[in-house]
Amino acid sequence: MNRRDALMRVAALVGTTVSLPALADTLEASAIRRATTGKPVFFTADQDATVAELAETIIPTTKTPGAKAAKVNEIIDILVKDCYKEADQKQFLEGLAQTNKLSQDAYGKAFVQLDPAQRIEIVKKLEADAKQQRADMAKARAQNASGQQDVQMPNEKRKSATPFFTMMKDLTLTGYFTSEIGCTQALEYVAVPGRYEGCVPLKPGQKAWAI
Amino acid sequence: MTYDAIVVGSGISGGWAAKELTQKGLKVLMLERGRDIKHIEGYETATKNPWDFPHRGRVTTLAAEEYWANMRTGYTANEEWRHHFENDKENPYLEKPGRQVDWIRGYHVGGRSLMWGRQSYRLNKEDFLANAKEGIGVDWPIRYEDLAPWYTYVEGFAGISGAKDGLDVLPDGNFLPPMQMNCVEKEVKKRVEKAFAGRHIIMGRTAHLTEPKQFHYELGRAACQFRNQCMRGCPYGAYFSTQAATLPAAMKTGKLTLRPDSIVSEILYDEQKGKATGVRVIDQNTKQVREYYARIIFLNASAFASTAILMNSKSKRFPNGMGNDSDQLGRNIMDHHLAVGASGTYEGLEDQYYYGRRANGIYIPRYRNWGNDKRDYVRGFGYQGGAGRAGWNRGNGVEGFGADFKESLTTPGQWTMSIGGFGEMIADPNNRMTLSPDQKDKWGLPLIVFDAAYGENEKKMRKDMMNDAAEMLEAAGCKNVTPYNDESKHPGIGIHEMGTARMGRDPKTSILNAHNQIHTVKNVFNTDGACMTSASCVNPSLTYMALTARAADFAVKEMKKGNL
Repeated sequence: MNRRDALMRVAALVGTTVSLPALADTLEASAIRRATTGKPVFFTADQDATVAELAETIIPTTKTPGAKAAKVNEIIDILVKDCYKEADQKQFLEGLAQTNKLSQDAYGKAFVQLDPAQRIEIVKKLEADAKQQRADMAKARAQNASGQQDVQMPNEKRKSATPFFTMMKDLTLTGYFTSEIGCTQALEYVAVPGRYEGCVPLKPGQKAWAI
Repeated sequence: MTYDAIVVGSGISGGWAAKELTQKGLKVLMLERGRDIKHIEGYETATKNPWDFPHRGRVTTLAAEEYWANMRTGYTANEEWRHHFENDKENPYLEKPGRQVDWIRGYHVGGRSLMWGRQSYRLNKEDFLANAKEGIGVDWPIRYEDLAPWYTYVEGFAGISGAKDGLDVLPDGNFLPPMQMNCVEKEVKKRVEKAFAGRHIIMGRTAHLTEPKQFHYELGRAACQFRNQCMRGCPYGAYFSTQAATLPAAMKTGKLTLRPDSIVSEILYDEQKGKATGVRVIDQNTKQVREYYARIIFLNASAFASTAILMNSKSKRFPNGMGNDSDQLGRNIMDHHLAVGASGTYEGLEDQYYYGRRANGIYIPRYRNWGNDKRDYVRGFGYQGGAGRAGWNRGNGVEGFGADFKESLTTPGQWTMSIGGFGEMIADPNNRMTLSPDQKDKWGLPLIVFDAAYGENEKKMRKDMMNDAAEMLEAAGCKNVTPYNDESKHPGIGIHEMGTARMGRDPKTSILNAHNQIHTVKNVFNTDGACMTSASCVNPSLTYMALTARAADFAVKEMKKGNL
């Protein structure tokens, strides 16, 4: 059974119709499956909960609802499953494991059990790690370009890969600011503007256009 | 079945052929290889909100695999409009290693008129003279003056918004009111025009109804609503497309038959009469083969597809493809080379914003090798661009997370200004397509093999395209100016493929004559990108419209005279 057949079967299971020519759109199956079963399609329940709390730490509830209210974990689950290559999926899952390891080491608890202030500390650490990884990769690229090799650097680190926190932040921002809550509450969404005005003075407290 | 005329293809030029020929009284069959997409009701994603898309617009790994050529553009495979582009795995083509072509297709009623960029410019007088002056390719068999009244005619019907800027390099037309520039664009215009004599920043001219006329309303079209979701299909019919404009006009005559799912495999040729008699069609679903007959045939399948049909139309008289005595069929692939320019940030005017989403930008007409300017390459380039305030996704480029970070992303970000070049590619007979001798698609038709690359002239031009862009943004006071020149792209990336059945004066060096007739098969016309003798640097669709209307007028006059 190839991947498409598998997807068609999933689509059939949840009762969607699959019509030509947009066969690739059968991947809608993931969203439908998540919505109908209420369960993650790629993550375990624990991973899903970790993603939800990480997203909320990045985009918390303020005067507008945050990432959890916008169900950003659900869209991240679907995007990692359907849009990420296998190597990136692996990197992402390892990042979630690392998040819990950092939490255990610092507080003796899983990330989801931490209080908000502790979560911020862990995410600061993840952000610093991502920064370090990007610096290492840039250094490796520069050395490769100049023909030098840093024997101290493990091969693993020389590979160009997107650090976990970079992926997590990108997914969170995308998931949140394209959600209904993000578009219509955090930002200002106008489905049909009806006209274009090139120069409009900014009003006090004016929000950015959602799209 | 017999008709007066058969139109092969339903995109921009095919739609025009069907409209003109039916309005002149002909009974017309329009054949489209792909599925039908009905106006409005067929635009599946037109009114979706961002959160309605299961992947929020992103490309899935499965789609990336299937839409492998589309992945090269960076946008056509996106979830919002992927269903309007072609699945490359289902419709493969072949490329010579290192001599690739990015071929981006739309096989459905309306073709790429549903997804086109809508920028609409006239070629200028020099564009029609340059080949002869410089000894490149062949001379155009027509001049600007031959086409000017037809530009005026098609602009009126299509509805082109733009300003009369009074520039020889970019002739004015029959325009609807222009869209507005925003504050930063106005300021950049002022500063660039002051710093560089002969350079102009104008409002883009685009096929959107800014103020529809009565006849536009009567076709069911309405004014642009500034949603900027055009490639999904416009439920207001505000931009020019086959569905919104030419198809309803042709249908009103009661003389058009539209047949989707009909792949034309070849044009039938009568050796005795020395004429085409009709076309052979394969049903894309049932694979059933049928023939249709007509007195004239308009071939408007898009440049490469029309060329492939001619190549596949072999007879005793034309063993190398219909009309191909010159061996020029499939040669001289041209496009506009792009992915080169600059962007920068603009400080100031932080108290200004804009309302609405303008599906248009500014345009900088060609100024290189124009007037007294002389470069170490020939021809020139224009820029498309615009200014805007950064949105939430700027958050990915900076450190930070949490409450303050979130709040900062909900306000308008810094102004940025960017311009990207569109350069003329010159005709080179070595840039070509052929048909594979052994590999076939699922309908048994030979696959196209591409063998093309940018030449030295384009490479030299790109240096100016990058440096001039940076220089202008710096003169405009922009900061953090970042020039770019992405040389990983291939001809075709502009989705303006042209030249593979060019017009010319001599059957020994060209396929089509001054009226877009095949020199040696007078009842076959081609008016899509294949006919272009040179590429100019402006977006070509408006020229296809004008050439089609002109050729249709000629064809009907010739039929009445008994010459066809």
